[in-house]
Amino acid sequence: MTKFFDQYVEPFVSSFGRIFVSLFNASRVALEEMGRMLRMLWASCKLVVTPPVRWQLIVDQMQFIGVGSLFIVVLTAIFSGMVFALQSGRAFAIFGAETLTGAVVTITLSRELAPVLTALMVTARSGSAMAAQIGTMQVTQQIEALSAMAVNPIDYLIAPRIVAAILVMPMLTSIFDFVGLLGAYIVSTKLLNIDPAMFMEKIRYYVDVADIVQGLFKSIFFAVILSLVSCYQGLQAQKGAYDVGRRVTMAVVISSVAILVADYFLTALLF
Amino acid sequence: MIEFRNVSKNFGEQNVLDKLNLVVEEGKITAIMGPSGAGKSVTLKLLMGLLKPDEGQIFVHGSDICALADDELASLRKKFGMLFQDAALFDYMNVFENVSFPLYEHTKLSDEEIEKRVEASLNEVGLENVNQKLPNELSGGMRKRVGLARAIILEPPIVLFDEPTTGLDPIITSQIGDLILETHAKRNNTFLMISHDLALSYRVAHKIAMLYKGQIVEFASPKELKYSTHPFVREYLQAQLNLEGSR
Repeated sequence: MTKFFDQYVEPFVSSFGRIFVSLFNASRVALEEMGRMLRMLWASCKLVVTPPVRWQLIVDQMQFIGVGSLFIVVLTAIFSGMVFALQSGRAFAIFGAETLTGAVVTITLSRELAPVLTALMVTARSGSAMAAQIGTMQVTQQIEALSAMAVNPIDYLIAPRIVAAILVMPMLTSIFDFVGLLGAYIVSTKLLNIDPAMFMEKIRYYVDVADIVQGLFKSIFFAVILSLVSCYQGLQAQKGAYDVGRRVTMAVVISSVAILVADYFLTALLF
Repeated sequence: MIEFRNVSKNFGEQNVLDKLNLVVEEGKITAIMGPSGAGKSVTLKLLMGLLKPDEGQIFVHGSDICALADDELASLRKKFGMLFQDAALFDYMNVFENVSFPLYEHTKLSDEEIEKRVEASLNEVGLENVNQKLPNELSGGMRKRVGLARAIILEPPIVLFDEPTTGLDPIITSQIGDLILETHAKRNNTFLMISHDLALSYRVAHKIAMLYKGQIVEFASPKELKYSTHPFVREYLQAQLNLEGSR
């Protein structure tokens, strides 16, 4: 009996214990990091409403995040709209309902695909750049220099990026909606031979303004997530180029996963 | 006047500063020297309020900086100018933007006045026609000069130097020494410098503090330091002499 316990039960229990302890520690670290990020967000919110508002920095960041991400968002949108129309048009054709393609694509784009894919593209392009820039500034003492010159780094670097992301993400999502729909229209009417008038009529009939507002509302949440996580990861870089690279990777991975998780909960809780 | 009173700072298990006491006289150049990892940079960061001590007090012009609220600390930092080890210039800004940055942040001067002040500050550190250059287009010595121009542009009463000659060749090192002396002669404010460079400290400092195992083990004029009887100071000076002898 003792031999059986030593050979099978004890290793199983100790492995289980180790896994439990690792999970507990990982969860504790994740919660601590989340707490620090929320404190940074709160500090940013307070600084944003405290004059003088740094409009020039906000506009610069809007240009970097918004205008800079426009091409990749348009490219993603047109192909997403086209492929979704192709797939759903063929599926609907099986039971003769292909005229519903426009409505289905529009609802899916505006509620889910546009906010989520826009956020993922902006994370990949601008979130990574935010983390890299702030991380490099951190390891080259530029952030310490800001503090030494009595300039709050949260006020100067973080708050303008969060505000800019919140302002441009709904715009980029609207552009994604429009361009995605354009791609779907081209494929549906030229490739699947759906009547353009029917395509538009079904959209008018089935799509509600609330569908579009829902997507835009989500995009604001995603903007906060991607800018906050990216800036926070950049600020945590301490040990040179390798650490900056690691923090950029973490910024993109954590932001992307957090956007997808938040998407589920926002959809389930709010809509 | 700057005073460190029984200041201790630990990083985990490592005791970096251990009840450090130091008084930096107003209007003088003081150098803090010591081996790598002795806590020289930590001392400067504590003074700037970038780190908090675990124990002790740090007084700047009579105010205990450890007891100040964030906004009071920010206001106190305007009394400091700091030249960082690698100058820490903002790499996305050109020289003019770097040097004018504190003026745009903390004064309401017009663009013309700021241009004049930047020009004067750059001339003071011996630089001309570099306004539009980016930091990566400058040599190490030029970056240090721009860093110094930025540090003194608000005319702070205290200027801090973090290893001002590290990584520079002997000629530029000598020029930086000249620059420190000239700048001090013009402004007569308090300079606190941390350095490994014994020759530079002998040349520019009025007082040298030797930091060892988290404490100041000797605080003397360059002349007096040569006759120190402290074993570590003797070893440090001998090592420097050996190094110079082997050149």
